[in-house]
Formats: sequence, C-alpha cells, structure tokens
Amino acid sequence: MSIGHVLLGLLTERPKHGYELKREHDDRFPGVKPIAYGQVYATLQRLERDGKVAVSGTAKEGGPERVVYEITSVGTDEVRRWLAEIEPPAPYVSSALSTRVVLALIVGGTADGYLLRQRAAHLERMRELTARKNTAGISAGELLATDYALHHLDADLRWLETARQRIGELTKEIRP
Amino acid sequence: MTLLRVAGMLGRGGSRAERARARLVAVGAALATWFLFGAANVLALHGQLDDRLGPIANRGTRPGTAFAFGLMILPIAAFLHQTGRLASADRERRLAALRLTGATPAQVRLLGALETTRSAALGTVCGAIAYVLLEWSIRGLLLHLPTTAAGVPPALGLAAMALVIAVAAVSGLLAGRHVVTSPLGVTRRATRRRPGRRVLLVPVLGCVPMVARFAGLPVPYRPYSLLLGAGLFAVGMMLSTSLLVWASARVAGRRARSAETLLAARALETDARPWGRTMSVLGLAVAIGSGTGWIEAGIMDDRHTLDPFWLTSFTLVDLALLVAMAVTAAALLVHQAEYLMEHGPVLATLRATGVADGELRRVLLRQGIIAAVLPCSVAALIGLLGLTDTGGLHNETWAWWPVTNAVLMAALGVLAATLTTKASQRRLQRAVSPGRLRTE
Amino acid sequence: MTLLEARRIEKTFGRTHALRGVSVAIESGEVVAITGPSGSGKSTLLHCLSGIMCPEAGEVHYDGRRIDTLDEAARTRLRRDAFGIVFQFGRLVPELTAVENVALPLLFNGDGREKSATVARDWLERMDALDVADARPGELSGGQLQRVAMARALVTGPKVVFADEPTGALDSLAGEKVLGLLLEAARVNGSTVVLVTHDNQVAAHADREIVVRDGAAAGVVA
Repeated sequence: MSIGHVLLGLLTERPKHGYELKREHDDRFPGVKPIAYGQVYATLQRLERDGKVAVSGTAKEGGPERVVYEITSVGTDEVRRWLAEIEPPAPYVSSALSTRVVLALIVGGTADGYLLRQRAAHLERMRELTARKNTAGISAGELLATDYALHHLDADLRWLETARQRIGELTKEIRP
Repeated sequence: MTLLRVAGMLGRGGSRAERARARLVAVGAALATWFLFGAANVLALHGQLDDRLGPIANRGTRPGTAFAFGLMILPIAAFLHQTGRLASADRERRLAALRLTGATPAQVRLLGALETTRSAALGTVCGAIAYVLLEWSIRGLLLHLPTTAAGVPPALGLAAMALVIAVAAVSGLLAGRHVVTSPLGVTRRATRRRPGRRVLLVPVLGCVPMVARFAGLPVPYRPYSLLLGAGLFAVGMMLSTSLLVWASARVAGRRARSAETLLAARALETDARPWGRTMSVLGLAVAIGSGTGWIEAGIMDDRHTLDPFWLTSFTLVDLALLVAMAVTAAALLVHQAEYLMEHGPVLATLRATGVADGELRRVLLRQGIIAAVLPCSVAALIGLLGLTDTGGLHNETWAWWPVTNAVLMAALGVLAATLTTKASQRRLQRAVSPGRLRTE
Repeated sequence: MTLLEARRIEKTFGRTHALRGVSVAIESGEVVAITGPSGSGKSTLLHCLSGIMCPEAGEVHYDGRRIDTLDEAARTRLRRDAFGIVFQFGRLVPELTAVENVALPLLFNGDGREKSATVARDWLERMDALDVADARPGELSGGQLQRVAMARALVTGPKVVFADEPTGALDSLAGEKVLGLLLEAARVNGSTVVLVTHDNQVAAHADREIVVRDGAAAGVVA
C-alpha cells in the first residue's frame, strides 16, 4: 500500500485540495499514523507528473488559496488495478516477542514469568481498547481500527499460549 | 449380505442404552410369544376339563379365551414399539456417521429395523423354547400326562413366532420414520406433529348404530351392525387417545400455575403420541376391567355365589388385566427413560440453576397424572356405559359393584402411570448429574 | 469485600486431576474472567464456585459462609436465590417458548403465571430479544438463544452471574453484542460476574483475569 494509492482512492469521490486530503485521510483511517502535509504535497506532485491526477482549479474557503486536484483516467485505472491486488500476507516471524522468549530461556532458563507478564500487559491493552469500543458515540471507522488492533493482540496472546506449550521443545533445543 | 454384517458390527459397538434396548426388545418379543403360544395351546385342547380351569375347561369358551390371550399382545406391542424408540438419539448419531460414509437413507433405515428385528427374533426363539419346556415339564411332572400329546401345534407356533418377528420389524421401520439422518447429523423428529383430529370420526361413526337403536330407529343387520359399531368405537377410542392426551396437556399447560405443571404439560403436548399409544392400551384394560364389573354384578345378583368356573374366569381376567397394566407401565417407564436421555442436559442445567431434585421429580409425576387421568376416566366410563341395563338386576345395590370397580380400575390406571415415574427417579438422578453439563 | 472465595480446592474425575489446589478470591461487584486452555479445569472451577459440585479438598466460601459442606438442598437453595448461570449452548427447555423459559425460575419460586410472564418480557426487552418472546428455542439463532438464556439467568436478580463460555458458539460480533448486554445488565443489577472463557477478546471485557493451567491458578493478574 502506498500513500499515492490512498490519495487516488480519496480523489475518486470528487476533486479535492491537499489539506482536505490530509484531513480525510486522518479521519477515515484512525488506526494508522496521521499523514504529514508535506508528504501529501510531495505525493500529489509525483502523481501529477505521472499523469494520474491533474489540477482542476483553485479553492479559497476563508484561508489561503489552495490548488484543487482531480483524478485522471490513468489514475482511475491505477487505483482499480491496485484494488484488484491483495496485500502480501507477511509472516512477522521473529518479532520482539519471540526474541524475548528465546532470550529469557537463554539467560534465565525459564520464560514462564515473562509469558505471564506479557499476557497481563497484552490483556490490559485489550481491556483499554474494549473499553474504548464501548464508549458512546464512537465512529464506525474507529471501531474497525480498534477491532483490528484487538484481533492482532489476540493473535499475539494465542501465540504466547502456544509458546508456553512448546517451551519444553524449545528448552531442549537451546540447552541440549 | 453386507448389510447384515454391518448390522452385526454395529450391534457389538452399541452404547449401554442400546444394549438395554436390545434386551428389552427381546424380553417383549419373548412375552408376546408366550401369550400367542398360550392362545394356540388353548385352541388345541380337546374335550371337557375340570371346571376349576375356568374358561379353558369348556369347549365353548375356549375361542374367547384364546382371543383374550391374543389381546394381551396389545400392551406388549406398545412396549415393543416404545423400546424400539429407546436410545434412538444414540443410534441416530451412529447411523448419521454411516450416512457420511455413503450409505443411502433407505439402507440406514433398514439397518435400524434389522437391529430391532434381530433382537426380537432372539427373544421369540428363547420365549418359544422356554414355553415348550415349561409346558412339557408341567404336563409330565405335575399332571402326569403324556408329554407327546398336543401342546402348541407346530404350525400355529411357527405362525405365532413369525407374527411377532414381523411386528417387531414393522415397528423398527416405523421408528426410523421419525428420523432424517443426513450425513451431517440428525434432524430430530421430522414429525412431532400434534395428533390429527380426523381420527375422532371413527368412534363417532361407531356410535351411530347404538344411538340409532336408543332413538328407536330401525337398525339393519342386527346384531352384526351393533357389534361392528362397538368394535369401531373401541378401536376409534384407542386411536383417539393421543388426541385426548394432547388435549389435556394443552389445557393443563394453559392453566398451569406452577413451573412443574408447565414443564410436564408442555413436554406432553410436544410428544403426545408415545403417551397416547400406551394410554390407549391402559385405557382398554381399564374399560375391560370396569366392564367385567357388570358381568360379575349380574352373576352375583343372579346366583348369590360364584361357582369354581366363574371364580377362575374372573380371577384370570383380573390377572390378565393386571399383567396388561404392568406391561403398559413398563412401556411408559421406557418412554420416560427416553425423555430423560433426551432432556438430560436441559434438566441438568435446570438443576444447576437451582431447581431442586424434588421439583424435577414432580415434573415427571405430573406428566403421568396429566396423561393418565382423562384417558383412564373416559375408559372407565365407557366400560360402565357398555351395559346400561340396570333394570336387569334383582337387587339394585349390586349396581355399586361395577361403579366401584370402574373407579378402582381408573385409579389403578392412573396409579400405574404415576408409579412408573417413581421408578424413574434413579434414572433422573443420573440424568441431571453435573457431568451432563459438559456433554453436547 | 471478598464475596466468593476458593481455598486450595481439589477435584478429580477418575484419574484426571481437574483441579489441584486452586485458590481464587472474587470481590463483590467485579467482573472476573477465568481463562485457560481447554482441559485446564476452568469449567470445573466454575462448577465448584457455584456450588454445582463440591471439591474433594479445600473450601469454598460465599458471602462469609462456607458452601462446600452444605447439603445438596441448601446448595440448590443458594444457587436459586443468589446465583444465575449461563451455559455455552443456552440449554433452554425446548418445549417452552422464550418467555416461558425466562419465567421458569420465577414460577419455581412460586410467583404467579401473569406476574412471571410480565417480568420475563421485561428482561427479554432488556436483552434485546422481545421480538422472539413467543418463539420456541428450535426457531432461534445462536445469539438469540444466548440472549434468552441470559435473561433466564438474570430474571431473579442474582448476586453472582456465572457464565461458562457464553459466547463459545457465536461468531465474534454476535458474541460481543450478547456479552455487552450481559455485562451491562449485571452492572445495573450490581451483580458480580464470573466468566469462564478461552477467548481472549471475551476476557478483555472483564476487570481482571484468573489464568488456570493444569488445574491450578497460574497467575492472578490484575
């Protein structure tokens, strides 16, 4: 996924100016890092160079005058093609968690304490996220983003439980 | 034949409940064989015997006695049918696995019937051997009669055995009718419909000749038309018993003020047929019992004493009725076992949520009462109606004899139904044990 | 204040040690999740805490009273008066309608038919299941079944609600909805909730987690 594709996608609705694109990006994707305005501007320039967007005019709403961009047919084709693809299912092996399990075994001979502490920390975070989901007036977009985070933490927790069950095999491998 | 081999394999792999069912079916078949052999035996007797033998002594009363023996098949058939259904949930789950392996629905149904038939055949053969041995020893050792002379004529005996096995096979096929075993599992009871109402037409039709006679209208072909009417009425009433049970359950469910009555009534309303079947036989026993009260009253009124012939006859009839009631009660017991097996997890859950054992027992008890009171009362009344000729008595106080008899018979019927629930208590205890909370 | 407590309880089934000396303490008004892999003994712990079973060793206390030494009748009384229990598959009486199922505990308590039905309908409404009040369990979806079962558990206003995998048979969205309704109702009632689950996302709804492993509390994590 690239910023270019996201901006193209947002432009399929109607022509927008750079600041508008930044605001909509941050509103609609609450789970991801807010985008810097400079990045929006640079990306729009690149898209214009490639013929995927074109300047359609200027807008002035109380503030400074802003350039409005519209998507071209090349841009529309590009965003359609991109949507037809899938995200590579990347296995994030050897994440910080498994590094810690292995190190705990090497250094201390046991990972039980670490696994329980990590579980508690994960669950605490999940409790916070669950509580946030239950707050009144939460937007559907934010719900979806929170669900995403919850499911990933859940996956970590399940991995931690499996790790606990495999700890014997791992210990044998590390300290034969 | 592969199907037979599969049936054999399945038989060895059955659960405790299934083995119990196989044994019960065998016992029922053996009992049925005994009574049919008894009937054949009576028919095979020659000449006038000692009066103390009652209706067996006279050549004229022997066909009637044989018919009575034959009637005893009815409660046993009810018992057999009920046992055939027992543990059906277990068997169905097993047979569903068979469907997964590629058996057709017809084959699965046939397998179910084969299992029942095999048990019944085993029971029939055992029953026949036991009867013949017993008869030989009584003849030879007690009566010192020649053992070669007629007991049960071989042809009649074989026919009786074939009849029992055939009935079991049909019942096995019918029991499979309620189950749709798809490869993915069992859809329970495709037909737990409420009993049809049209069946009420049969007894009403049976009443027509009698009503016509009372109204003074001409009745053609007397007395056959009257007899036919009475027969239709009796059979119709038996067929309508399910409806009767269903109706009292429905009324009781609507009026229920306690949880126990509500649970009992609704369970009956949903599955009125098994209770209806057994209650129809119980009702027949009650009706015959209260009907014989009239005959007894007539004879006592006439002769002021009972000679050995009548004494034996009445004792035999009462004995037969008691046996019939006991067999019917056993059928009810089997049905309650099925109810407990099916409802085990639900009842265990109720108990976990704080329903006392005593309250669950009351649910069973009230099922018996709700199911039995109406059919038994109606049957007792019909028994009394059968002979409304009080004018025939010299001493009218004798009229109290059949009335008392009828009340007693009805009470006995209800008692039989409720006693079975008492006998189910241990099974109830097992069904609601916390271990059942885990199964699903 | 500690409302419910197990002290070093042990329970065996045949050769399996389901519980090997578990100690847990549950405060009044809190929502506790008992988690652990399948076969860890978490359901058995729930059965012992709720007085359905008695442990072979150790003690169970509720509200300052020892309950594992009470006889079956007294424990039945306790379960009826103070506890509400929800199981994984609802386990409703199949012949009764939803509203009759919910009214059942009240009927057993001797309340009248009309009064029980009114209260039951009220609870079905709170569980967002009033639309299926007159349907039988066979006609309900898993989520609806569970909502009716929860109404049945809450209808008597229990001090403690026990739930054994209440969302185990539901997908995550339906489960979340059902769980939310249960916890909200318990909060309004002021009931303590003990949730047994192997689902971390369900456990995240609780204030606190008790991890059971191989029949022992592995870590009581606040």
